[in-house]
Formats: sequence, structure tokens, C-alpha cells
Amino acid sequence: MSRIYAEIPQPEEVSTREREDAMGAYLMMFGALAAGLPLPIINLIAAVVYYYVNRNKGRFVKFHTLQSLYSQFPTTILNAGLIFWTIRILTLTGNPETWESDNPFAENSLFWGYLCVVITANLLYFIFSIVGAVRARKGRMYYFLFFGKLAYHRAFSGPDSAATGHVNAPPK
Amino acid sequence: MLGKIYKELITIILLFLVCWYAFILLKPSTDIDFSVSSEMEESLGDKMALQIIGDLGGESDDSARTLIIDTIQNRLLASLETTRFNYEFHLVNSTQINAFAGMGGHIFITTGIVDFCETPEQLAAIIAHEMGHVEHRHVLTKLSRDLGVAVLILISSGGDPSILAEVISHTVSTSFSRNHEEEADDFGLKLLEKSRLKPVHMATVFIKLKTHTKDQSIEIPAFFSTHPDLSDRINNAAKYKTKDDFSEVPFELE
Repeated sequence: MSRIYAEIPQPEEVSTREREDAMGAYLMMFGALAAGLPLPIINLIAAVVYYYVNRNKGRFVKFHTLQSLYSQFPTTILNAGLIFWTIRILTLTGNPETWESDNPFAENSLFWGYLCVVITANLLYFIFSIVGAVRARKGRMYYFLFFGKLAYHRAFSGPDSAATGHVNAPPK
Repeated sequence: MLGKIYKELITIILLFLVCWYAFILLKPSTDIDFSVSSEMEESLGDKMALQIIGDLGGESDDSARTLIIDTIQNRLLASLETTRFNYEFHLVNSTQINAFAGMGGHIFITTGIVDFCETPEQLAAIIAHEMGHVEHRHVLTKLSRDLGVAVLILISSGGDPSILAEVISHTVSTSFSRNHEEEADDFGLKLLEKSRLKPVHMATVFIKLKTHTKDQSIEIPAFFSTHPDLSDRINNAAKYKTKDDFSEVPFELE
């Protein structure tokens, strides 16, 4: 059975307040990012709080806050993994006395690859968030790979009672 | 919609794994590629050998020990189809238990380590390991890593031999990196097998050295580096699998 989705609001139907709240979901990350280093979990907590504060401000705002929140999950996990791995190398395998000849970071190919992937992921996240914020400010939808569809699915699934003019909804 | 979501999730996971693998492949080598030719290294190594031998107490003319070294070197060299350098083995008058590779095919073996080894096969294991450092040009790589490009320019331009000798003496007396030790061990084990000598001799002599340094509370020789982990090196040597038809031909020395 195919799922029913509510209609997506067009830019002229999105109020300035909604646009700003939707844009805030992306921009809030950069403030949290500074505070969250070196504890990426703080970014995630900020994203969750922002979502719960704004989730009832319409589907447009809900979609953008959800997209921002979902895309924050893998970035947080990757960053936390990098910190954990770095600390592990420093405490378990690293012996600063031998680093002149044996640099545990330089010689660990897996770590090197992971570091590059995490840097790339953070850069992509940064770029996509900026684009998302600009689009949200214009009242437009913008879909990240995977996270965009997931956020759309969560934010827009189910008929829009306001749009159809029905006040009473069936029991859930 | 859900089908598309799952597809994109799989795409993201695959992208992550592919990127990770690609970055691993793209990792720049920590071994610096430099343009010092083998001939140049050999020529420099010849000049430096005299200085190193002088610093260590001169070359020994003990005929018995020289015979052991000659016999071992002949066996090991005969097993190599090609060598990067013309090897020169120097028996040095020193009670230190040590052996190390210099530049350009020079290998220095102290009388101390000859006496320390119970059998010529054990000494052959140490020499095979040092030949691994020579074939992989580890001294030159270490020089460039420790002291930078300036030294390579000095070498390339045929700089002041006395300064270079000091620099090289310092380099050969300190330990190699984990990768280099592993490469040298690997080369040595294979060379022992090719030379019809049991690779396990390397493990035996490592254990003997480990026990000796522990008992005497003395400094561990540079060639018997503490990294990679000593136990790992011993295990690797002990676990080395020879071919099914392998049989040892021991040295016939009195």
C-alpha cells in the first residue's frame, strides 16, 4: 500500500518566520560545532533540542530540522570514532620516545584513510548545510542524499488535515 | 519511498567504504624517494666505512673469526640472484655485541657478537637481517627521514666526508623504524631459507640476545631494536614456514 504524503508548501506559502526557523536548523550547527569540539556529542544534543523546540512549527520547518538532525548523526559518530582512535593510539600504541623513527599515526594506513574520510565528510556536511540554509531561507526544499528523503518521509507522511480543510482526523 | 531511502542508505555506506579504501591506497609513503644512485651510495659508503671502523676499534685480523664470516657471506651471497651492492663484511675489534648495516653494502660485525653466537647459523641469521637493511637502503631512508633533505643534498654534492661520516655514524648507531625492522627480518628469513639454513635460527638468536640483555641489564644493541615488539619478532621468526622439501645444510666449521 502506498503511503500518502502531504503536499509540499511552495515558497510563497512559507512565512518568513518559518524560513528563518528552518535556516536556523543548519546554522545552529556551526555555533554548536565550535562548542562541540572536541566533544561531538554536544552538536548532536543541540540538534535534538532544536528539533523538539521547532517540530510543531509546520512541516517545512520540521523537514529542515529533521534533515539537519539526521545528517548530524553520522558526522557525530565519525568524529567520535576519530577522537576515540586517536586517544587509543596515543595511550596504547604510541611511545613518544620512539616517534622520531616510529610515528604511529603516519604508519597506520587504516587510521590515515579514516582521518581523510572524516575530514571529507565534515567538509561535505559543512557545504551541504550552507546550501540547505540558503535554500531554506528562500522557502525552498533541498534534499541531501538519503537524509533528505528520510526527513521528507518523516515530515510529510500522512495527509495534511489543514490543507484538505478537515479539522477532525481519524484515530491514529 | 522507503525503497529509495534504503537504496540511498546503501549508496552512502558504499561511498564511505570506497572513500576509506581509496584514501588508504592514496596514503603517501613514509619512505622518501630520493635521487641518490646506488653507485653514489656505494662510493660514499666506502669512504665512511673507514671512519666507522676507526671509531669502533679497528678491523680485526683474527683468522678464525674471519673464516666464519667469509663462509657465512659466501653462502648467503650465493643464494641471492642479484644484489644491489657489492657487499663488504667488516669484522671489527669490539667486545660490544653488535652488528649493523652501513651504506653501500658495508656490514659491520663486532668480534663480540661472533663470540656470542653459539653456532655459525645464528650469526648467519643476524647477517641476513642486516643484508635486508642494505638491500632496502634503510640507512639512506633513515638519513633523509631523521635529518632531512639537507643531508641528501650534501651527499649528492659529494660534501665534506668528515661531516657526513659523523652524520652516518649517528644514523647507523640508532635503531630503525618498525617497518624497516620488519622488512629486514622478512628479507633475512627468506634469505636463510634460500641458503638452506633454518629460519628458526633467527628466533633462537633473538631469544638469546633478549635473555642476555635482560640478565646483564645492558643497553640493547641497535640492530636488536625494541620495536616492533620483541616478542612479535621472535614469534614471526619462529613461525616462518619453509617449503615442504626444505632441509638444512649446516656449516661445516670446526
